[in-house]
Amino acid sequence: MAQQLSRRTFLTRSGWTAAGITIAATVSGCSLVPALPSRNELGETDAFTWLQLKPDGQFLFCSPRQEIGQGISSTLKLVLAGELGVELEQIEVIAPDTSIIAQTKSTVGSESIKDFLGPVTEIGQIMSATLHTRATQHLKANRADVIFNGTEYVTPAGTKLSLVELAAGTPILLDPSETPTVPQARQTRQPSPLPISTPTDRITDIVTGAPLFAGDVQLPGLVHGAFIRAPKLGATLSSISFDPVPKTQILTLFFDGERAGLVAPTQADLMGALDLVETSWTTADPASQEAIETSLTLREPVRELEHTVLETSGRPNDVADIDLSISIPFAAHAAIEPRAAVARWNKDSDPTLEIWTGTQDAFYVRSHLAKHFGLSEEEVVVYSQRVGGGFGGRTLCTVELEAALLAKEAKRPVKVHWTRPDEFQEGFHRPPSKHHIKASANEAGALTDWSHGFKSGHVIFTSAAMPPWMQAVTSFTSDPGTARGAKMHYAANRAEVAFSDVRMPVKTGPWRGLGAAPNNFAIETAIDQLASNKALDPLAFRLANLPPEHKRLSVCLEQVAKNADWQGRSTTERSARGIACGIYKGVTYVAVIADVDIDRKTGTFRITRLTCAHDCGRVINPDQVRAQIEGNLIWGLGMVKSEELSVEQGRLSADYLGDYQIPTISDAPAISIELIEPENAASVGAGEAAIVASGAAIANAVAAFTGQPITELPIRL
Amino acid sequence: MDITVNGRSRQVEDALTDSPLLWVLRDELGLVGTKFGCGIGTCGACTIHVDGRAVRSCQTTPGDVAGHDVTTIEGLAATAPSANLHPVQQAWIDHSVPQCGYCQAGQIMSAAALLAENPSPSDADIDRDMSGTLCRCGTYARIRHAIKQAARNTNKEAS
Repeated sequence: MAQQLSRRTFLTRSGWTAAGITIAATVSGCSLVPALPSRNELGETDAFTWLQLKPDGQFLFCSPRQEIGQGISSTLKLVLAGELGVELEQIEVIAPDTSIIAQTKSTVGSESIKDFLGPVTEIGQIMSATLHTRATQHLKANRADVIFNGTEYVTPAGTKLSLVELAAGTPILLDPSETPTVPQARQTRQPSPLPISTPTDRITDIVTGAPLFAGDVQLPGLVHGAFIRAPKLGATLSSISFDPVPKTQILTLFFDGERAGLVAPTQADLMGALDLVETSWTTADPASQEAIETSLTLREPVRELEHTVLETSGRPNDVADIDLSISIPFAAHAAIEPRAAVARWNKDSDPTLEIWTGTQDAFYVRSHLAKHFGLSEEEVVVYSQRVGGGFGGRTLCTVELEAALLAKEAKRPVKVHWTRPDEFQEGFHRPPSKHHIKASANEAGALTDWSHGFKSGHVIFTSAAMPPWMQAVTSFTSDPGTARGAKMHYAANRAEVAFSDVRMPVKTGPWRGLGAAPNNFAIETAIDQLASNKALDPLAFRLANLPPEHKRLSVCLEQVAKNADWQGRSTTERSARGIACGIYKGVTYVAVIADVDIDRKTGTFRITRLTCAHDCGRVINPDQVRAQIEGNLIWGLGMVKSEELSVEQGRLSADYLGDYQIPTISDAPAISIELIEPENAASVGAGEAAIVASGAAIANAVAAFTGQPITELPIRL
Repeated sequence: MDITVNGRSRQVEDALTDSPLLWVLRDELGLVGTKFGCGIGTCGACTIHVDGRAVRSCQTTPGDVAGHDVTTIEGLAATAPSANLHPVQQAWIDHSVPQCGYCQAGQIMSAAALLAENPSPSDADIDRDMSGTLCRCGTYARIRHAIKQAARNTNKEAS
């Protein structure tokens, strides 16, 4: 089996080296070390486990990348179809299944095309070559004479061999020992034919309501479970009584001294039972928004903050043209699908524990559960289901553990479907941050001084992902998620950027773009304000201060200005324009112009158009890239217009979507996008780039109208 | 008790008469296309049709719909005069609307009910009618285009 060939070599490579975590794990070297999100590099033969020819003549591609709405399934299928010389319909794509493929990294960071296009292209080429060789042997013909027409191999004499006949009743898997080359984790070969826009994979299933998501999974004997939730952050259960619940509504009670849960025959019974359980709780140290605000307040000079991002030999002058303090709140993922998982324990058959879940990291869920229940990794299988909105929120193991605990107790398969309040209160969130930026420009309009200090909650080294002792170890290391996008893209002779990460009493973690969305918002707000301060056009000021190495960003700015017919901020009695730009992860370039209508009387505003120029290198599937950019633009809009989470009376301020307002269709502006593809530019990510510029472009439009920079999100007029 | 779902009479245990129809559809009748998003009628993911009108199934019970026609996303295509898909479903494919896809059953059911009532909606009509059906992926611009295309196609067929 191909998976056996690859897994051994591969497991030794796993680890979270990029974030520096392996050091902490090695020092301790004991079983307290928790499983960590999969950040491993691709092993040499891992890709061999992804693709097979089934006996029915169809190809099965078990994708190493989860489908979270970014359309990666259709794009990788498109690439494979090109390499195999078959139609899209001949390839079935399934989400990561830990029993089929070798361990792979989590679906995060907009890396699916950047890191997987090369290996998927190569595996397609190798499969194609392998099948051709085998067909030639069957047909006893010269290799060069045999032609593949998409379903059959044909000799000049007209003898045919179909894919079904070639498979001859058993799936054809790739064996690394049989092939002359092995896939490499880089873009070594050019896929063909490209580019073509294909719709989201399984779109017909989506529009007809076929089962696709974890909550849709049905198993014989499946029952429903839930945990009892604390009314406040950090509260501990002091007493519980299930007595008021009618016995017919409960199948199993769960209580491990800390956590209580129950299992009921139906979801309706479960909801009813949860309402009747009587509990009392104690809260030792109640969380408060005031304490959070205080912990984020910048009192010290930038050079005294913990982690330095950028430092020139000359320090920025203390006296500056602009001096801005910007405050950005907690934000929620608010995916429309609340987390769900199904767990089944098998007494007399393998694997011991099966999990169906929509996760961005099936292998992390597997190792987390194996560790928790004292099982080997092979004894746990995770079948990934389509994710109903990821955005960074499905990177940890949460609902999966709950389902496994309850299923073990109930001795039956259990489904746990989080409620909307669970999503807000038990999930994790984008941390809040406070920024202090001072900057100056000379009379010629050149940026001279830049000082940016900020404090933020954690993104990677968070309480949601690791126990307190490990959080303590990581305090010496800069949180790479918090730091993302903090290094400013403009050139200044004297510059300093530094931050401190601050422990939050709320679980925090990755949210679309990680630190880049808030950090770049702060940068682009300040740059715009400095242009205003110098009475300069914000486009011209940006172009003048971008260094030559960011030429691709200048091109985006010039293109978006042309497409939107930029003539300056164009402020009228009821409208204004704003511009912003950014670079995501050093590789994706984006510029946005926002048109905003503002009603002075009612104090409301509406974004009427977002124009975007976007350079993520060579584009494989243009329509899917556009879809990602559209989503990003709307996320930036939500971030500045309405999204806000805080701690109120010891708990998160939102339980339902009415309490936390994500954009609706009435907020959605007209959108125009231009994709810029410089010659020979590698394909990179598009899933989290435009969010770094759209929010700031909108805020800069509102600032142009009011004459005041936006220093607090969401915007309040 | 009996309820009519997608043109078929389906039996529902009497004990579930007052339960949310959403869970009865999903767990008892196996119609999982209707999605759970909030349970209080604020997100629209669970939208179905009762006698052709858009209704939030999490705020409705089997008792409420006895004697009425319930249509879910699984049965929508069959309500179209011809073709394998309802014009709204076809427009959703043509415009490649879904990203993650979770909210889309609710979006499609809301849009189909809107078009049944207003065959040529303006942008403002669409915004007003659809603003209670949330999409976190941000597919709204495509939803607007798709609704208009479905309207055009339906009107063309009718004329």
